[in-house]
Amino acid sequence: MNTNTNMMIETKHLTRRYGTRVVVDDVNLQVKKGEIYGFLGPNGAGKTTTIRMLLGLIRPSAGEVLLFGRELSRHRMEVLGKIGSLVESPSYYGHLTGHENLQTIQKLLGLKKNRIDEVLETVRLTKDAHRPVKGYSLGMKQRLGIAAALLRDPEMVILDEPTNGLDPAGIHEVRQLILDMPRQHGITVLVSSHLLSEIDQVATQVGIINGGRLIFQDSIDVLRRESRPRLRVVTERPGAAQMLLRGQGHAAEIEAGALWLEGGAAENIGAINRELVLAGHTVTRIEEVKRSLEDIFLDLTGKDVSL
Amino acid sequence: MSATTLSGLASERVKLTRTWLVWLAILAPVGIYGMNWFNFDLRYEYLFPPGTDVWDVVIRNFHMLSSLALPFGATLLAAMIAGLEHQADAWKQMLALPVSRTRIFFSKWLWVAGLLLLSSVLLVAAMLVLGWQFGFAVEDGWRVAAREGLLPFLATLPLVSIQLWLSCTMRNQATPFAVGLVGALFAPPMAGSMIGKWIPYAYPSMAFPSPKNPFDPEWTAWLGLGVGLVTLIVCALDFARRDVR
Repeated sequence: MNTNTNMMIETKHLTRRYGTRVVVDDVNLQVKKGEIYGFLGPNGAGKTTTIRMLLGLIRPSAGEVLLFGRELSRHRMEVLGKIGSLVESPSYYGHLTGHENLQTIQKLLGLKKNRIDEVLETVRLTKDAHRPVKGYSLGMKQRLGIAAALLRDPEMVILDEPTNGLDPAGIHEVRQLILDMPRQHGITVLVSSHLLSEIDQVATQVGIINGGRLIFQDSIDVLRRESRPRLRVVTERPGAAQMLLRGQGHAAEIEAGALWLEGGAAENIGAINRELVLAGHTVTRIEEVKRSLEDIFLDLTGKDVSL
Repeated sequence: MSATTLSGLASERVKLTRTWLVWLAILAPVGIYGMNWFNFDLRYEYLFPPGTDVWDVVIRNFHMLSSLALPFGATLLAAMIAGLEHQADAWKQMLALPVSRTRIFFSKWLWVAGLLLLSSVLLVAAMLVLGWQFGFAVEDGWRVAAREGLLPFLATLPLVSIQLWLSCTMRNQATPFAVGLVGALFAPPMAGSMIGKWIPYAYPSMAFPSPKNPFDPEWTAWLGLGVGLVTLIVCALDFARRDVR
């Protein structure tokens, strides 16, 4: 037994190789109870492979998965019983109605019949419950997938790219469902995405994976703090101005003909301006430049590709 | 049967709603019945000269078609049942559930085998009805007809395991189809050679209860049942340890 009962997901040195290619490399995920954990990374970074290992769909080459503090490899049935999942594209039998689709799981797991109506209500598909799913929009299919994940009243839900390919309205609905899970049902959520903006709007914790390695894992606030604004100062003689400010203890750098001051400098804009003017500099521009989460993410992943 | 196996069967039943599978199992024996009606009607004098064992002729004519229909049926039903999951992209959803994977394979196997059994039972009825229509005494024929229903069915069980395993583990159903069709067409002629008993695809053709059968049909049926169960276990265990796409 693990001592930390608050840890819903914990992976230890989780690794998966395909031949010589390492797809997931020594990943140590930690997801605590009640969190919405955003699992972020560009396409092909190893998100889906990691999630498949969390669900026991594929085996790790090395390392282990602990769910609710218990090893997945030894207690598969017990721990999977408390998890609902939606992996990538939605699974659905097109010739069956939404209700019948959920019935296949309800019967297999021997759940109560009325759970079907409850979860259909949760994802607002009650009206379309008795229509063949092949006529559903992608957003409805995805919501049906979420209903399937909620069917057995799980303690934790793992959603892989749940908003992929949805239109803005669909994305909004899925986001709302995710936000409601911890609030209304006490469900811990792990949600993956290649879109930072998606994660930014729902997550409390963030893990960033790139090239199979987990390169960041902390609360979303820590990630946001990284985005503290820098100060950009334009003067006629940047070299002399830099000397002056450095003399005052400011870490000033010259980039593209302008002075850049790090983090905390923004709070003393007035003082910095006065120093420069009193020393005879002509200050033509002072501005705060905010780094977006996108910039930080790109810095971390070292990728210039669009996300 | 345990509760989990029954719930697996019930879950599979829901998936078969509005599909052709059950109809296929019903229509195949009806088709064989119809073809033999023409066959008997057209060449009655040739097939049944005075003094022949009429029921032996009936079951051998049915067997000519059913020995092909059973392997084809196993191939087709397995491909359709597995194809439902491939089409639905449902393996990843189903196999992440707290259910034993071998049981999931077992439920599907029971459905394929069960539908083939339904076909076989209907085939027995078809033989008796057609014989009766041509004036043969049912009380003389039901025993041999029942054996013709049951023995080739048991001999087909290894194919149920193998075809279901192929169809479940491969996304593209062309390979399982090719294996099933080639096996059903080319294995029976090899039944007479030494290697015949090593090719399960030849078993259905070897299991008809007639004095004209060079093989022992009962022995072939037992062999089919034994190999069928062993291959079921092996295939289910392999299915359970595979990575899920």
